[in-house]
Amino acid sequence: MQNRPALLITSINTITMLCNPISSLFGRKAAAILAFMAVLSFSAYAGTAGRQQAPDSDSAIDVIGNVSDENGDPLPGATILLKGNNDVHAIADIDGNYSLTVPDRWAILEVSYIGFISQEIQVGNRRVVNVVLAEDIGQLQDAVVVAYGQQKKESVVASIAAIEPEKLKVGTSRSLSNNLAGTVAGVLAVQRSGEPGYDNSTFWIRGISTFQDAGRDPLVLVDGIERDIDNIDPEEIASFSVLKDAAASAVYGVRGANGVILIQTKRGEIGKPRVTIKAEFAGTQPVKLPDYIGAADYMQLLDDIRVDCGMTPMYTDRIAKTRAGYDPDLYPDVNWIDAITKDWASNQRVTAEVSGGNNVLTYSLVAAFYNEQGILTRDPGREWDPSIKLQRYNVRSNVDINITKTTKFRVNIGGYLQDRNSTTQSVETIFSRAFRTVPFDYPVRYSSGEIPAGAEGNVWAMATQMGYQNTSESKIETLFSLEQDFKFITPGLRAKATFSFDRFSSGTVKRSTSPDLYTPTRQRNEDGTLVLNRTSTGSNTLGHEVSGTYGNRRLYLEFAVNYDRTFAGKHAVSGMLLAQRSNYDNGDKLPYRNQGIAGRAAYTFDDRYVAEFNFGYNGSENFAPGKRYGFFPSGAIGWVISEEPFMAPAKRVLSNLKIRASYGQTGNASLSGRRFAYLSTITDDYNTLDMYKWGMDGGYGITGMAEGDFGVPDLSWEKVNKANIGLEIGLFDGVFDMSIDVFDERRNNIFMERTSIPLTAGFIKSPWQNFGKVKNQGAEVTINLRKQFHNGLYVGFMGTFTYAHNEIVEMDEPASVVGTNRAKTGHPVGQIFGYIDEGLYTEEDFIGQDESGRYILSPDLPKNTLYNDIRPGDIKHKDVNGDGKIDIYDQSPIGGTVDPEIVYGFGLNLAWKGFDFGVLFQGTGRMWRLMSSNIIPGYDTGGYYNVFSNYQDRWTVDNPSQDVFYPRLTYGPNTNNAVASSWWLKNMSYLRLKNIEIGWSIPERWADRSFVSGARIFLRGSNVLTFSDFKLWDPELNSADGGRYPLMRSFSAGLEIKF
Amino acid sequence: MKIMKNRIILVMLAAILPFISGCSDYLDKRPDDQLDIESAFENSKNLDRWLAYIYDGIPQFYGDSNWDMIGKDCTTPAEWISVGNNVCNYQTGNWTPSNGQIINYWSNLPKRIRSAYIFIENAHPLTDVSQKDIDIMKAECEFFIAYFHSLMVMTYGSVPIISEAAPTTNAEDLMIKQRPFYEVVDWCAEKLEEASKVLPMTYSDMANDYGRATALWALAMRARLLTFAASPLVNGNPDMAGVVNCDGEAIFTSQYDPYRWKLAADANKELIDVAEANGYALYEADAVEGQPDPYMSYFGALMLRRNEGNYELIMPRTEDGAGWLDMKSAPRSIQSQAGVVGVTQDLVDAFFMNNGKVAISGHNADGSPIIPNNGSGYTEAAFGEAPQASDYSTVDMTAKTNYFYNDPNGYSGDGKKEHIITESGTYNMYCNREPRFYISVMYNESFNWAKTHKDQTAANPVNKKYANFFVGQEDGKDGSDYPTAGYLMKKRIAPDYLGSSSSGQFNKRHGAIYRLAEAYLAYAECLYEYSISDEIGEYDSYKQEITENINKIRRRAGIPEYGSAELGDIDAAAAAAGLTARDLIRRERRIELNCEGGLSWQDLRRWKLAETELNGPFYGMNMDAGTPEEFYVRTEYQRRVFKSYWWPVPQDDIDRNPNLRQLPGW
Repeated sequence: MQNRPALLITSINTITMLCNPISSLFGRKAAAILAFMAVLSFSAYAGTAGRQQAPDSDSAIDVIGNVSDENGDPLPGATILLKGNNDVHAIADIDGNYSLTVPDRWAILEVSYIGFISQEIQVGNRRVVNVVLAEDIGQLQDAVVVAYGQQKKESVVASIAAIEPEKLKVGTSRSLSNNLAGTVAGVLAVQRSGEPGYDNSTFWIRGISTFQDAGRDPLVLVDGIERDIDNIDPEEIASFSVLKDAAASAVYGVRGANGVILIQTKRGEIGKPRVTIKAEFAGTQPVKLPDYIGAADYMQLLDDIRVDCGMTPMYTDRIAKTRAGYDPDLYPDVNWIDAITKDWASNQRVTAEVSGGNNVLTYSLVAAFYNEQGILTRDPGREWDPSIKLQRYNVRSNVDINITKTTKFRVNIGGYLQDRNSTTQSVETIFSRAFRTVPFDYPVRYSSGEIPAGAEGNVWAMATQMGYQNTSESKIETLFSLEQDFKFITPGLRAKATFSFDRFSSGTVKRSTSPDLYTPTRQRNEDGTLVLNRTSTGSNTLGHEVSGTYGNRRLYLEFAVNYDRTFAGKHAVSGMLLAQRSNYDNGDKLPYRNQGIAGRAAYTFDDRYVAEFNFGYNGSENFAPGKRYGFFPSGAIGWVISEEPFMAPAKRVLSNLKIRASYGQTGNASLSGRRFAYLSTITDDYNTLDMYKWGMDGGYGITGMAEGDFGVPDLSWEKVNKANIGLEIGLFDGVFDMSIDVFDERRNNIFMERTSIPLTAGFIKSPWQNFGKVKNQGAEVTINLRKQFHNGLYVGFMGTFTYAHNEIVEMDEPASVVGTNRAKTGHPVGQIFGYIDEGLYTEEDFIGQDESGRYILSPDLPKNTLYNDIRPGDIKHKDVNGDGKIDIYDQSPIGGTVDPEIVYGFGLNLAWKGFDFGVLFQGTGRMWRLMSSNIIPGYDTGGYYNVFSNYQDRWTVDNPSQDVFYPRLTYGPNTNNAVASSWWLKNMSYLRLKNIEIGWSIPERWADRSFVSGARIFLRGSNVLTFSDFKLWDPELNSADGGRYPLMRSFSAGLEIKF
Repeated sequence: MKIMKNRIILVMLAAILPFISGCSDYLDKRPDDQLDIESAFENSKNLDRWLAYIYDGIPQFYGDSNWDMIGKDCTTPAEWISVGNNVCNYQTGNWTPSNGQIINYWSNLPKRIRSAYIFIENAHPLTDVSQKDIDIMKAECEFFIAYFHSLMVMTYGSVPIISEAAPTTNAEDLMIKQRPFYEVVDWCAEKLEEASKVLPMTYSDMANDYGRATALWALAMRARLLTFAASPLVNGNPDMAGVVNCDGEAIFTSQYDPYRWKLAADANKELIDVAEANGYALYEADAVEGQPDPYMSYFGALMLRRNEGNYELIMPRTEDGAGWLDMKSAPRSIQSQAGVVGVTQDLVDAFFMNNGKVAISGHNADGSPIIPNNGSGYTEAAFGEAPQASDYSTVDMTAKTNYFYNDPNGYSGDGKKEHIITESGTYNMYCNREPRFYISVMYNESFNWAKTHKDQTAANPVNKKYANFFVGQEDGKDGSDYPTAGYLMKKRIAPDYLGSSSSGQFNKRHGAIYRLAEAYLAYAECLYEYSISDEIGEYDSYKQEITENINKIRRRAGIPEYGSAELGDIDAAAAAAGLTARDLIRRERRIELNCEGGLSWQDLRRWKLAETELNGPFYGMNMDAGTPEEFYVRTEYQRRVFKSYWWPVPQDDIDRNPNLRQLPGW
């Protein structure tokens, strides 16, 4: 008993020690696989049942028996204890069998198994005691993962959203962050691109509370270690908690300001090996591609606009020839979006999971494979393939070993490998160029094979002819922890030491090439060949360029002491004290370091009154000596009203009623701008200062040097004071649950570049200071309804709603601006500014025309300084400050922000006789965007940019309507119509059918007969429908003109088999 | 079991240990590679680096989006707005104090000024740097403080004097006030004069120090500033009477003071005297067969370095963005994105004839040229009508020059350097113009001055090549890159440009911030304006000196001088063209200094002519035409709107500094 675990530790140490040389010899990939296999084999070795020894006496009875669940499946690892003498015990073996020697026939057996309701059975006259345990559905939901630990659900008084991992399995995309919007209350998330590998959502917990770029992102901890949320496979997740208020996150101190996401990976449970294999295959297509008009229509529109502007048409001949398809080389008609994209792409995901264990060792192994293709096309004439392909392999092995009855050793080894193939060109640029290139200039390729290119290049050639590159990433994540129960000192005392080491690296191999490019031609030679001029000579071979980054590594060390005990049945006391230290090295001059202590003290009286105090005391190397550490306290109280005696009569209906409140402080030490900001610097940066060259031939070139940053006196972290009030209501014992939270966050000390310092002061870099203040308020609601009807029908409904509105309180705006319509202060971070439109000018707004035909604006109207040729049909802007002219002083806040203030989701789940059906809708509200002036037809005289198919929805002399999409169009820039204006402000709110899924599981009686214990097939659609007032492109896309890789819709079929 | 427990406790204690032991110094890290102000000035190399940043504030002489492009000489396509080029917005009056400023002196120069003050405060002798070296370097800094102030005061009119590097970020150090125009001017002039006494005339180590500020730099910038300050825009301009600073002090004086011209004339004279005494002279290329070569002389004055014999260049910017403008001004067939920076019809019309006479004295309201009856020999097709056969020349025009006009080998026929300047069949507008015209303007169907065509290979020599601006043709309008007015800029463009931004073939070339020719022209102008004023009234006694200085320029340009038999004196020549002597002095300046770093735009402002000259239709040849008959027709291509003589203070600073006042009109 004592030898084997020791051996195990040694062995695992040996494995890890072996891995180092192996990784240097064969690469990390091999080492990771080896470690995985080794741990697997040890798990199997350890997988035999333990046995007992019992006191001998005359009356002793040998009992044997079997422990199983209600389905008759054995429960290996179930514990059988003699009540009153825990030294007498046994563990069920792999078939659920046990044997035990008890003192006499009055002996009582306590049979327990995690996740099942324990039973006590008197032996009596029996020699064979078989036990059937019932599953305890409630028990698993009881514990909530909180910062550095777990708490019983009833005693949680902080604002924490714990989501069942199953709910995160929506959609087929690579990134877990894409599954958060609408499923987790308190999380605002938007996905701004569909490009494989770069399609992660941007997300914030309770919105944004700083106007700086840094210090917005939530802290994501996987098994307690800071890791990337998007590179974990959903199948690896055992629990997912979002810590929102100060009570939940103050212990993280300077890392906790933006909320925390805690993810625990799956751990093994005692039992025979359980194997689950799941495969899903999806076809994907863009949710929406912009719809451009063709070449002839475009040129006709340009001519129409020219005529409107008093010019002569210039495309008459080309329009006719284009329409007739006369000579597609000279008169092309290209939809460049079609030219670079395929109609369909695909992705596949296969996961395998094995878990099990016994009372000594439990294990969980998850391996996942994800493969995705993008929609960019390739040229079949090229043997190499520049299209986007992404493969990711995740693996995770978590092993828990009970070294002694009170000592647990955990080893987590996980990681992923990812390969991404793509063109050497920026995919973002390709899509924006596809929007920029007009359809009538030149074809994709001349019929004689030459590739034409205008000033913006040939976008098809960018996508298909420029070579390919492959980026390979690998990450290995390890964690070791030792947990000791010190009940021999005092019951309820435990201690834990954790060590973790992560390593990430990536490298890129680029094989670039370029084709010959020719000036677009409009002529043929006499022999019928095209008149071609080569503008650039390409290369015939693929270049070779290897670039790798240093990657990064993170070391983490933690030591914690926990105390948890209930006195006199009523006084539940718990405490936690922890020290941690981390070191993150990404190749910067110095690693990023953080260390501190954290603590928690909680007291619950009679399950009714809860009080909790938390603190974090930690610091970072970025601050001046003596000012490196900050103290972040928080407190919370709760009252479980439903537990009050006077509520007893209502308990059948009102099963849970709890109110809770918290207040506290967290911090943010992730400052944008610069590190070690307390030091003054000299700058000698070439990009800032350039180089000057003296000498007769300019031969003495030297990079400039000048005063750099001002040292910031009293540099400090940002502080956030957070208040939260929550209400939880449960009806009919789990049928209906609702929780409502209202919050108020005040962030101050925001580290920012001073903006009120005049340029004449001559600072090369604006001084930084802890200066800004932002307040952020909002509410969130979660509703869950679930009902199992007697006829087998299960109905579940969930809904979440999150609203967060922030407001800049102080951002060092000049005093002359604050309080005016131009002020950003008092408005949300990222507030859109522009002129306010009052419709379009009409004939009545003018008193006539001058001799050159220009319209003379009525003197009663404000003077328009934005454009010098205002006519009816132009956008009429409001003179907000009333100074009689429309100029920059009239710019005002319009609409809201590009980032949504409201995110919501609701879904329905039905299950009946093996069939299941789920649907999830997700939407956003208060999300806006200004259209780019590039979408205005004619603005660039047809030189650049495509025209959307709604182009006829415009003001013309014949259709002087105010209710149009476009104002009067002009040939060439009309700066009045192109300015940021509420005319171009579009509401980008949407509602999506995010996920719809139908599944069928094989009946249990089939499973009984086969070695398969369960199987399910399912069909899924994601991003199936989108409802929005905005029609030109997908409203979630981060684009003001639609020229961006679209979000994808997918339809998939999957199969899940359990053994 | 007991032993095991103890072991575990030991392990746990070991885990706590680093927290206990290492707490104090775990975070005790600070970067070990950062300099501070004191240590930066301990290294002689850093002194040069510090100065490099200050020098880099000298405005670029080459650029496609600076003052040149908003004056009356240059053009850029309207389509450039969509690619973020603001020039067209400025041309058409669509600009405000807050949209992208193409001249960013307000945000850029105070940084250099601050750096200069910090240098003066901190620099001290080092083992390898003597006190004298330090004194010169500090004088360089003083020069730049004054020079940058002069740039700002000539641009914004109402500016503060930055008298120190603000030591704190407190309001009292930062919220400085605008000062009266002449106070700033005189402060700068005095500082420049002081610097000129310390700065050397030349540096011994020309390989490394050529391009460092000399005494002449200071005198030149002082002369330019004082000339500006004497000019009608600021000298007795009633329009500026009401401009005050935050204390109510008047920024400008509305009283005309002719002695301002005297001050400027003296400053120019001093510059000329010192320069000539130190060997500076107008550049003249080697004669060809005993005859001067005005083509190569005018070309070389800008393009050649001092070690190539060009002693005209007084203030070079030794590092400048020439390659970019080379590309933008080369015909598009050389490379895409090229063939866009051109010149206007107005500049074409300004050039004299080869006989030194005025070709076109001005324009009527409808854009038609006024061709004086002065025997210049200039003809063109009737206004608004297609050219007839008689509107093309019937003979070649030739000249003796080393410039490779029509023959890449530099020789033609019998081996003499007799080059064809215009071939027979050239549109008359471009025939028999003065040499400076052919160095400055690339007109349609003229010989393309790229020596080699981009498609040239050994098998396919494309030696002879002509500009082809007809619509849809290789250098003409097809998309958004084309010579807007029908001409490309040829002056200060390297003829050997081969064009490839990626292959690193960008030309590196100094910018000619100040050359001696400007001093002669300015001196003549200042003397004229001083002597002709009602108060002085001594024009006749100064006339000789005025014409002499103008004639220095004309002599080098290869055209007859005033006082010669063809022209008569300057008043006679002017009268024959229906103009005045002032017009001819200004015209000489415009031609000589065309397309040179915004000088002509500066002149239009200073002469208070921008409100008429930069307002209204601009003409060019018809770029939508495919044949000569349609092409050589004066066509309106743009309607300019003049907005203000003064650049606005950036709105941001008006907002930030409550002591600043925006000039009227914004």
